[in-house]
Amino acid sequence: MQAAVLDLYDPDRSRRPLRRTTPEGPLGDASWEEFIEFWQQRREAFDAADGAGLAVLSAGHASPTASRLERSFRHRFPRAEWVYWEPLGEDHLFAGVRLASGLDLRPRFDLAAATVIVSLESDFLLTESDAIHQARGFARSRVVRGRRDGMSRLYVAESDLSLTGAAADHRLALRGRQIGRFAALLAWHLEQQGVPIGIDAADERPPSAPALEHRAELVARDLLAAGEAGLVIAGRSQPPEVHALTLAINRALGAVGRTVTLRSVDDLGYSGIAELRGLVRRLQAGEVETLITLGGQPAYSAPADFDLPAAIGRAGEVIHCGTHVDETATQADWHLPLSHFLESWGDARAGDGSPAIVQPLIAPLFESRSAIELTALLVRGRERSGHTLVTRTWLDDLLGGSGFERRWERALHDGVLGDAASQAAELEIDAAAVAVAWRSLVERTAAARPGLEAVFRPSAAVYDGRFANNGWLQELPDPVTRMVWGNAALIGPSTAARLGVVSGQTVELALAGGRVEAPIQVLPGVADDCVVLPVGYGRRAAGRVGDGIGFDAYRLRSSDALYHEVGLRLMVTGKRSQPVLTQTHWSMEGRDLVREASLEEYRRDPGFATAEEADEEASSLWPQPAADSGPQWGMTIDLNACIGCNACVVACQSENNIPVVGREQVSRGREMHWLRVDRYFSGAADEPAVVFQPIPCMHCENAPCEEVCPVGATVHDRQGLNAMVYNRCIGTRYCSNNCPYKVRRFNFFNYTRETPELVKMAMNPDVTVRSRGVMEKCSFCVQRIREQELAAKMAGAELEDGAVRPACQQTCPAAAIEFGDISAATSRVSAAKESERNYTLLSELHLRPRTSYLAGLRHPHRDWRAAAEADRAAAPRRPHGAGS
Amino acid sequence: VVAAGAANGRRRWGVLLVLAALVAIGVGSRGWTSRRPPIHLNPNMDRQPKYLAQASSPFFYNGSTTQPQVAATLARGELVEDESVGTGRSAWSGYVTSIPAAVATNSTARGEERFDIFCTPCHGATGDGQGILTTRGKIRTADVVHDERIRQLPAGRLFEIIGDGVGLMPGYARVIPVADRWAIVAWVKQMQQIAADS
Repeated sequence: MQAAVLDLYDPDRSRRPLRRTTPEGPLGDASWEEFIEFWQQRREAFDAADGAGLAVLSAGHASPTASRLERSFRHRFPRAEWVYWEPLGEDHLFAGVRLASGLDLRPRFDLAAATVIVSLESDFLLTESDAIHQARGFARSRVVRGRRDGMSRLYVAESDLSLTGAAADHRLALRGRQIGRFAALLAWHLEQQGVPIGIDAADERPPSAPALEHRAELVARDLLAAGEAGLVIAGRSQPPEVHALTLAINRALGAVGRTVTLRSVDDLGYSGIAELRGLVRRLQAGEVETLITLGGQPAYSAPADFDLPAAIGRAGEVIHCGTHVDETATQADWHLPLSHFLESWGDARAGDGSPAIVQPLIAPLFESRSAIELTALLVRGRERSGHTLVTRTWLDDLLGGSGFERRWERALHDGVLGDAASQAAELEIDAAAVAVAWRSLVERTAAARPGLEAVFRPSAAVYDGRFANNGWLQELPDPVTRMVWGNAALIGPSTAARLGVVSGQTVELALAGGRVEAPIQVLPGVADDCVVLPVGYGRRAAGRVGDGIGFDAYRLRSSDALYHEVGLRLMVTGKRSQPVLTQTHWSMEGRDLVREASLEEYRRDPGFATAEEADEEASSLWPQPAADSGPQWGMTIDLNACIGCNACVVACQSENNIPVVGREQVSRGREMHWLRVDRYFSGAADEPAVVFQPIPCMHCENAPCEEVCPVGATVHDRQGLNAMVYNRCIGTRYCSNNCPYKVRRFNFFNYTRETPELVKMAMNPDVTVRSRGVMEKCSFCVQRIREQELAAKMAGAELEDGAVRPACQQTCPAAAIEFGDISAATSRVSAAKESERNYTLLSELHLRPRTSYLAGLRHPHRDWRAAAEADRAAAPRRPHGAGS
Repeated sequence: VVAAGAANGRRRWGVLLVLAALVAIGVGSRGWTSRRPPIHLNPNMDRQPKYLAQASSPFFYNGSTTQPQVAATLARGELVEDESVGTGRSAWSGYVTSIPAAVATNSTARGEERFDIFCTPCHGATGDGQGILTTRGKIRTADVVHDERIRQLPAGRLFEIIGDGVGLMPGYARVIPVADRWAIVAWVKQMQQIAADS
């Protein structure tokens, strides 16, 4: 989200309508007038035919206005088709809820109220929908202020190593089918323990191999103890049966209405894979005369077995509406530029169903139209402005009645209609259907399917590929692998050893008729016999940034197994292609950089984080800040809240004009991020514990960088900021050499010299755009400090605590960062620093850093180790590669 | 020796000629304008690839980096829910005759300051219509203090005029926030009162 501004100012965006005049010729310039004239003729013909032969393939949305316009499109052209395609859709979720309840509802989770959370391959902290709300709730459920506070416990079963898995207290690395079996076992144990889920399997337990029996029983017991504060969440990759079972479990625990509410799905523009399959059939049969694609990159992201590009080629004519001349546009007869959401009117439904208005922040930069303006044009044959369309929807459907203008202004100002969240729906669970689902799950997961399993998952940076042309996101390290500018086939250490592959080897992957070449990256924590394939890379026509970065995992994806597919073949090619990582060291080597304890240990010894530290009050040679020198800025980062999602890193890049340096420079260790998030593994390689630690400049009071600068380019100010004077810097890099935290970055080249005119607009005017030969680093967002100081001075008031919010703090979904005046006893940052968990990094160096950390906590179950041992003892020894 | 002296003399003349040409070019170029930036030996980040307010832009039609707010949008904090404060009118009784309580203050200092900044060029420092535009540009501007017609205007109408303009006067709604417009109204009313009293 923080990177959206760079998408708006993407110089590769298409600027005017294009038209192909000869069948094999190039797309040539055209105008909107020409298109409108063209469409008016077509429209008359389709009017006569009730829209037969007309089809729209749209990207998904949650917009009341877009839904209203879709309805009027269907009304006008009853025989036309309108299909949505989202490569990371939620078919299974909706199907599962319908299976269990007969209703079209969407669950919304209130994790703040949960004490035991079980995730069945749901990466609810990052890549599932509503992730920000969930991350905030999860962090809230784990706030520990004193030894009496409790915190939630998270169990995760998954195939890849997601951020949610990294945050788990207990994690099971399982293949796709085993996750379903774990869900079935869990339900069975709950039923046995008296939770009425409705599965009629009183004395028949599901087969359990590999051995999960004891751990499933333990999780069931823990869930039961949590009661209505227990919660099971299934990910979009899980089959409908798992979602149905999940809903039934939550219902039986009493969690529905407390930690999970089910809300009606209003105004959701969505359809499943079946509808896309239908459209592809009709395209192949030559029944589609005019195909209109509205947003998205369908020709790139559709399942490989559909061969959508070939199908599109059989349409009579193709009208492509998109932000770029992308993969789909290469086959189009018309290309119409779409507006970015920051420059167009729109509306949307929030996670709780509240309608929200989207205002443009700038007039459209190019001759583009938004998706709703285009839909209105298709229906009416004339143009309507986005503002008219949105106000019309709100007048008719959302703010009807008297006094519309005042209520519209209020909603426009607030951005959201807060009191209009959709009602939590009453829920009747169809016990018989759940029992059938359970049985089919048990049966389907009983048969062993040997072989390598491909696991498709969204990229943490470019998601499904839509953000591929965004340099900030390409250079954003993957939170877990720390990989930039590309993706790799991720594989667990023991599977890699068995297959005889190592990181950096290029392999050929073959699945479902598709073949791609991909580099290997060994990653602890990936389930055995699984190969994780992040989608969203390998774009062919994304733009000058995103083209040809990484490999395209969609080429292996088939429509009947969108997330897990067994039967992947892997062939070593002999070529090498080293993925670029920003952190290649994976262990803390026994040092206490990230300090962590279990909740139990914390209760026994609240001061565990600083227990082994020598008393700090050594005298200093350097002058200390005077008492009257104004606010003394400081920061705390709560490692118990941090989920390692990298949002702060992008926010920092956007706020501070940090240049993108490219793959080759990063491979030399020259990335420019002022704030990085370090990731460390601990424990066994196949069952690692993962910790994250954001590292900005620590603003040491005894800053070692300042002592070695020959030109006084880095100095302390009265408020305790370690300031950087760019104009003085002559680039000796002594300071970077002397910084123990390695947070200083050097401009080896003039990265900003050829900044395109459009990208200049994305730069923050309050921050210097640095040139070659200059050192730079985190400034605690000094421009924001000055802005608030001035505002307070003009208003004649004192600077309030919390008025200055650095970009990282403002963006953090988990609210892990506090910033403020550490000399004021009442400030929130002072309160955080009073915590027993507060510690400073490398405190033995006596640098007195202004940034400190609150040690992390985990909440393991005390019987887990015993259960895992019991499972291991019960596990039948199986030859390698047999899979299950 | 003679030949050498002649060569020397010629060289001296040559040097003088070159100098004279340089002086002529230097003096002659003065006052010429160029759109290209001057030669800059140490760039020193003086010019940065970013958009500053009120700078020129080759991209936008208006040639400026400053773009107008998109019509019909409303920023945070811009919403004025009290109709009489936002428009100077109330639904049932037309223009309000006094400054709404929500924005009324005891001090007119802010209004005086804003008046000095925005209004004096035309209306003059005392509001008598003798601003620099009137005295030098011969443009007729209203005497907001003594003109009986203006003195009779209700406060709400004055507020509306400041925001929307009237006749030759442009509207200042985008430049002067609501509270400051009311502060100016208060200052004008006070000036009128003082003029009437004296």
